[in-house]
Amino acid sequence: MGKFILKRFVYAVISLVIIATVSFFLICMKPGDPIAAKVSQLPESSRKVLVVKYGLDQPMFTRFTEYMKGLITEGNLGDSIVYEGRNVNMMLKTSAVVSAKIGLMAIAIQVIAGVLLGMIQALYRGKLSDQVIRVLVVLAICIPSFVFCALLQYFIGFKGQITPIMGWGKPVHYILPVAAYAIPGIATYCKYMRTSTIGVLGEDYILTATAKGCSQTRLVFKHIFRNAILPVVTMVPVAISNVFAGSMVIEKFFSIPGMGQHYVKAVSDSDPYMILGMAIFFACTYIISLFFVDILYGLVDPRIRVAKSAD
Amino acid sequence: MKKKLLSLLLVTAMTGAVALTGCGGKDAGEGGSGEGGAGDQEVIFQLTADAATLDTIQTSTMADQRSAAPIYEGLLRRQLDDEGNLILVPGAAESYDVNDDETVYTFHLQPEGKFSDGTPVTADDVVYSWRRAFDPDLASPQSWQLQDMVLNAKECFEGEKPLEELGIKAVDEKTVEVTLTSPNPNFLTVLTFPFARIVSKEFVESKGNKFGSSVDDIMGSGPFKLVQWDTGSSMVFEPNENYWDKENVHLKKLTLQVVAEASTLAQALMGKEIDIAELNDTDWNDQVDALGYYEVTEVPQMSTYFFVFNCDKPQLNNWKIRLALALGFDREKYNDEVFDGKYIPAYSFLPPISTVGDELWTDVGGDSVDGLKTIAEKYPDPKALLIEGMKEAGLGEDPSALTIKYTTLGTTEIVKKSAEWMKQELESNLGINLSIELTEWNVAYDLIDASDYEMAFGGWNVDSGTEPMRFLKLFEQTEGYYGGEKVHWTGEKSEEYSKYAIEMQQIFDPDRLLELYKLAEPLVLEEAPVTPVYFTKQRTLIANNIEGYQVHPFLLQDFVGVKKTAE
Repeated sequence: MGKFILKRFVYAVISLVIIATVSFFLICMKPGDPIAAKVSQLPESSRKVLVVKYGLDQPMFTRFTEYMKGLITEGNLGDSIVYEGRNVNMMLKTSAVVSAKIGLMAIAIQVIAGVLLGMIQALYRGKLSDQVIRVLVVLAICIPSFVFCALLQYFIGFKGQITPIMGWGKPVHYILPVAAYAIPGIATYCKYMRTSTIGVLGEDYILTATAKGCSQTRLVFKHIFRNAILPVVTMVPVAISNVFAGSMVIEKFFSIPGMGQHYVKAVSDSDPYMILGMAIFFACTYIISLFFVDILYGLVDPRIRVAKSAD
Repeated sequence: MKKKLLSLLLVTAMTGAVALTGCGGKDAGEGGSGEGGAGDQEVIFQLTADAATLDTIQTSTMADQRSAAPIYEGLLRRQLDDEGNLILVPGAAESYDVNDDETVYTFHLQPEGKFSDGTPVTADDVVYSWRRAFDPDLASPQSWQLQDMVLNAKECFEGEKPLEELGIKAVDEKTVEVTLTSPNPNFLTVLTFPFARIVSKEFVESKGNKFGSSVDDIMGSGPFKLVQWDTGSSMVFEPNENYWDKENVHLKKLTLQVVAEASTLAQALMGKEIDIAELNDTDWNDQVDALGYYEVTEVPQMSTYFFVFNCDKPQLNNWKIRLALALGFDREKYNDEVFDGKYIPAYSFLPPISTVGDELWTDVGGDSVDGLKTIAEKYPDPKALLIEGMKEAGLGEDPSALTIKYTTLGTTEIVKKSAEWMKQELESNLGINLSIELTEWNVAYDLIDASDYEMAFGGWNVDSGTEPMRFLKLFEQTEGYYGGEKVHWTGEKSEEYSKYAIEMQQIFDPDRLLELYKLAEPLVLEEAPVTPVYFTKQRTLIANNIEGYQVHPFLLQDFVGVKKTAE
């Protein structure tokens, strides 16, 4: 196990270096000038001062090594050129935390609701409940999230007066965005759970358990649930890694101070170190989540672990 | 063993999830009680975007400037007088003197002027604030507006002279002297702009380049101080208890709430969650107005949209043809049917809030105010005018033989609707063919630049001054934005126009300016290389229980004098 983890760690570091390098050069080659995004009517002499100030006159390679030096020695993920004084570390401390809170709550709801609905579908396969849930699932997956935002806002916030329509700061402000975030995910987990439960139902050990006279409850929870949930469990770490990036649509609709808007803004402004810093951070969370997925797989399915150690 | 670990993991995850959802449910119950009792002196004001920075000299967007306005104060402030005109009132300076040739201004600071941390506002702070604005290393995006007025400002900004030579100095602790390059009536107005407002030297130096980026790094001498900033969502302000005019600061809490979506905003307004907002969306206007909770104020902006005709093309070379096109559609009908009355039909390039000296253009402009209407009386039959023009240009007498290509500015639904309306109208009124080329806006600008178009759409916004010159200079044929090789307007009248347009940029005498405007505008309207279509307007909704909130497109509200009354 130790060797396996070490190997994954080395791979992760190599992937990160490659991602950082490729992103940096791609960003530098992207058209669009961060100084123009900041100011358009600058006298040429002042522009030159700015170019020097941000090191934009340096060769790409020098800029890259400078950036990496800052990243490794000071942990500085990058400063904004367009917004004086802002940097990625600050964004992560404030905005990514907000996005993560919403995302984690939504994932919790997604997993619980998705798993329950998926199991109901599988256990009552072909019955009315299966059909109804299937239609809802297709709708939830197909309808874009801004439609849910608008619907939730109208029916719950405006007509129902149950929650505020938008805003941030009180616990009640979480309800609508979390719901909007959760709905498509519930459908996805539900679909996976249904398929995997149906698979489990066809296994010989279920037949054996039934033949042994195992009670219905015991059968469902002890034999079906535990085996069927495995593929869903391995999806969760990747979903968690995505929550830090936030969702621009949901943030815009509900006026939430999350991460999505900063990421989109940095790209449209061509703000190089902001894009790079966020890209590296998101890559990190993704790689870490994949690492957990691998370990989880090993834990839940001995066959995979055996195959890995046979390499 | 492993299975047990996994079960434990799952159980933990599930319990956590249940606990979290549990929280959500409980909060829902608490939230239903609603907010917003009257008399609490809390006002929620809507912005469409969040500020990027609150460093005075770095502010550039409308959101930056509006958010900075309550925190920082300039030497002078702007307000509306009883007749709705913008006037200058004392700000950080209690009064000022000016020398005889109007080049040296001496400002006397408020004796009680203090920053929100209680330190006094000194002349050194003012000098420091202005030097920052012209510091090439800091590169303010806005200070060019003062750079031709203040002595050595341009040289300092371009790094040719040290900042110590900037034309501003501290005479004593509460007196500042500013030297101008030449007399300029606009100078005092520019002092109210955010980049020229005052920051604390000590505070800014202690923050370095972090100044303006977060709550802890922001401090000014204005009526309010920032106490909370959730980037992308809201800003909360509380009164600056050290403000010199604190008697007139009535609000206990001011929130700038970012709401970008029109549907979100409309519903929030209908739920009375917001006190002051700007909403101009025809899907929602009526529903919100029907509530009767908001007073709606519509003010024109300094923003004009117009058609541009390429005079170099044989079909459009003759002015009669162009004028026939300009008169060939009903602007009122266009505004009502295409935009549901969202804009103001334009019969002149000068928006109704344009001013000449201290007078409104609409009061002193006479026949020129709706210049195109006067011209329309002269040419009651556009179709006859068109045929006349076609004959002169050797294009025959049959309007149906004339095809004009219309390059749209963008490809959105409203642009399509507008182009189709125009096609139908011009074809039925004039009998010509209009072929629509749907073009992305950035491509359309490139085509206009390259003079590769026949009829196109353009617009111009001004966000700092109301002089008609700001629009009329656009069509001047040597340097105007819509002049020269883009439009190819030539001939005697074009030259005469350019002469007037150049002169109006060099003088400040209101009488002569008015004369020039009246001489110049009819020329461009009648020759019609461009023809005005509509002006935009700002539509502000103010809750009935708010008092003292003034609406003007250039007015940055500092919320002094604004209060909530019990209904």
